[in-house]
Amino acid sequence: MKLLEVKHLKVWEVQTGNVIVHDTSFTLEQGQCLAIVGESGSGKSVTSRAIMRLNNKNLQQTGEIFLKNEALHLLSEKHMQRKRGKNLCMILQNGMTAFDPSCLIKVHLYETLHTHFGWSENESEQALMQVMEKVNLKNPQEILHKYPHQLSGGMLQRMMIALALALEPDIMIADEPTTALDTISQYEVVQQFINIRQQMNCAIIFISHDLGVVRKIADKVLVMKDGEVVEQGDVQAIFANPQHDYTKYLIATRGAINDHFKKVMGENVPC
Amino acid sequence: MNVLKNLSQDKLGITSLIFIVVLTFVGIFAPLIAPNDPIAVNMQLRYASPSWEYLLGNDHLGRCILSRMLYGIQPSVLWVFVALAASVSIGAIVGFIAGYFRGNVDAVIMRICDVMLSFPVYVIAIAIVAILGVGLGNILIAFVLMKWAWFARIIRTSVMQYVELDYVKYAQAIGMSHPSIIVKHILPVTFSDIAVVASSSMGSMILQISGLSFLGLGIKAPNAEWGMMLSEAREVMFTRPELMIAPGVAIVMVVLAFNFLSDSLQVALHPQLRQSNQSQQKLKWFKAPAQHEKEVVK
Amino acid sequence: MGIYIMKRMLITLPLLLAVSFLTFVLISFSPMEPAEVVLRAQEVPVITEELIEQTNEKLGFNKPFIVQYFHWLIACLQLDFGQSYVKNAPVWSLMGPAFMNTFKLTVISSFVIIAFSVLFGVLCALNERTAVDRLLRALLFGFTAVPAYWLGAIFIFVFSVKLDLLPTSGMDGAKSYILPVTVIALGYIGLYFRNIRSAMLNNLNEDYVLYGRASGLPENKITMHILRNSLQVAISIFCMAIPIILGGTVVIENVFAWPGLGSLSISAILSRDFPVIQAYVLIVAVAFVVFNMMSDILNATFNPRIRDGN
Repeated sequence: MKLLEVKHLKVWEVQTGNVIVHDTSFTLEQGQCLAIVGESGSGKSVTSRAIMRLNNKNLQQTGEIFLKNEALHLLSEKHMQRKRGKNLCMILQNGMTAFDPSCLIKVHLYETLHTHFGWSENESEQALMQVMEKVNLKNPQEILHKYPHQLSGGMLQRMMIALALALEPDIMIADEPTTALDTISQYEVVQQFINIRQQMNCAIIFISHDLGVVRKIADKVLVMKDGEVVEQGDVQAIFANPQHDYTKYLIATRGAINDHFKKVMGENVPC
Repeated sequence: MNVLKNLSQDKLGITSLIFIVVLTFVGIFAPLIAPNDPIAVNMQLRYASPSWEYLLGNDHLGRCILSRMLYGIQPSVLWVFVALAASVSIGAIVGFIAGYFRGNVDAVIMRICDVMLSFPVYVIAIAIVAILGVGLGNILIAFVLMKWAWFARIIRTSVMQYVELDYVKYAQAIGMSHPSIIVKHILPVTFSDIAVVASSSMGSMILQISGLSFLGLGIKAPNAEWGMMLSEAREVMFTRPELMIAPGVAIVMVVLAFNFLSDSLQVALHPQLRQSNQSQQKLKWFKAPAQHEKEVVK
Repeated sequence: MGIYIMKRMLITLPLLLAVSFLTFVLISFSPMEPAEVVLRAQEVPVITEELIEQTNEKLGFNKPFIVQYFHWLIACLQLDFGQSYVKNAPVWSLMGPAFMNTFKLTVISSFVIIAFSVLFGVLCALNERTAVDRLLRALLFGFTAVPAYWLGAIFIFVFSVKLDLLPTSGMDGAKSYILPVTVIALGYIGLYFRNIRSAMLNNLNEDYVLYGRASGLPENKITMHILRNSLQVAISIFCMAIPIILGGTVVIENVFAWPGLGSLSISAILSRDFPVIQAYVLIVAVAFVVFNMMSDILNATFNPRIRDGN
């Protein structure tokens, strides 16, 4: 069964008429992980936000979006709001700015859980303790009573993942979740996504320009360039045998940087 | 000259600029342009209605209101501009020293600024008038004495940003002298920031200084000044309210023109402000000082 | 939090000292000899050297400057600002009631200003670039260019003389507040609501708003978060506005014949009554510094990042 189906999605700027995403279609199956790759400005984020209907007011979109055969593009704003969080969960790039800086972390979490499940603070706390354990956040009590600026970007990123786990959505949309992190935190966050994939039956849309990460966790890849999908398909197939020039270029440059890196390290690291 | 080009696309801005330029000329050449002697008393023409000879009518002493308005441009606008220029210059020099050399010099200067900024301009103006006596010159001195600190602070922040830039560091590294770095590399880029803060203060300064004249602390009779003309008109407000119109409208128009010009200048100097999204960030930088400027007391 | 407040207060002390010193120095710069001023103010017919000498002795003008300053400062701390040269009464007996009158006007105006600035700021931000936003902005922008004394005179003419609805001047019951407060507020709302509007708009583009929406939070909850973050600006404005209006009511008090600090100081200037002017400058400057400190402390309570010294 198709979990998500996007048909002829088009997004453009109202004032200038600039088209940001051209006629894009793709599908996502239950439990699958779809990676959207491309350079910055290629329309990856806009596409993912369009699914949740969360783009800025100056962007307009047309096209059809079905979640479990329900037409999201036809829902009223009020009904759409209920889908967000509960069915479609988003994880942002920068954890440091994703939480209200003047409130404790718990405020956002409790509000969200209360909105969707009507849980009391106690119930929310219990649920969060469990999921925070899963994403390797120690001392959940303490973390919940901190302000965002008192935690690290990686911790906040995992906090968002934990909230997503508590919400048990159909699809988790992660918008460049590793970009703003240092290498170690990146590794931890990627591990969390792999765990989620193994333990839960939750589909993931993973937006990234880091092909290494994509290769590790994705089943399917969608390559975007200048708002257009230039290639999509199985992750193995695409990496092994890229069809489009742009995909080849992306894979090649990554390889080149990698080779260069290894070379430099090899020269400098005394054996 | 991009600035002028940008500005010329902004109708309101360019209109304001033209208005101000014309006003300045009229103010400077008032003795040639004014139809009558502004201080010639003619009791037969008391409160006379507008006529061809006296286009705006006559005041309580039968003096020509239009001529008084024109002569009033000098103390009401041009001298304020001189005072502003003086305090901006002092503020710029001090701000450059503090922002460029940092360290102890900076600390001392900033503490002095803190102290100066603890006094509302109005209060200091009153104190200085109390010491030196009533007069427009003394009010202007008070403004120069107080306002420089506020400009110094903003210009310091602006300078500090640019000193951090690589090309300035490079200039320092290759041994360029401090004065030539300041003149060649920092002054040109900070100039736009200075222009914006200065122009945004002009409107409020005109209001404040005319307010002090209104209180009778400014220019001495029989010389004409808009604030004082309003003060005279107030005496007969209940019987001759029309005397309040000309000077009041003139002040509003001039202040509006400067405020519009300041806004347009800000956009013209930083065209990226026009795109609304990033603009907010940059605007914040400009608006934050404006918040401090709360002495825009009228 | 306690530590932050302590720190902030400690920074304020030297500033207060500097401010008081400057006030003292400023008045001492007067080109006239103080004893002469006193005697003239008391309308002594013939001023002799001897008389000046006596007055110097009596008022301590012949002591070293720094000693005079500390005497003055210690007296000020006990609200003893000396004798008025003119009225021959303690300065505080004139200053105290006038201060309260100005303070009442100031506080009420500040509340009006903050209420309407927030209202208009939020209204414009939520309706950005619509007719409401444009109209309000143009209108309020216009009012910032109107001289307050002129507006005051027009209001008196319209509402008091022509329509006979409100008292023309003086301080007589709640009604007499309406016009002065309106005039003061109109000038400031135009300045402050812009800050609130742009703070709101900045916050609207923040990630936490997107994440809140993405988490399915209802719009009213998100608006509350935006408000919470934007209103820090409002708080600092409120604290800053009080001392500024306190120092700026001079003109308004003159127009509406309000028996406050402004009226007192103007008559003091015209009669060269230095102790009164000195006390006026000091009180307003101290209020300025103290409210500034309060605004920082209040801001820190609402913004944990400032508290932690980031």
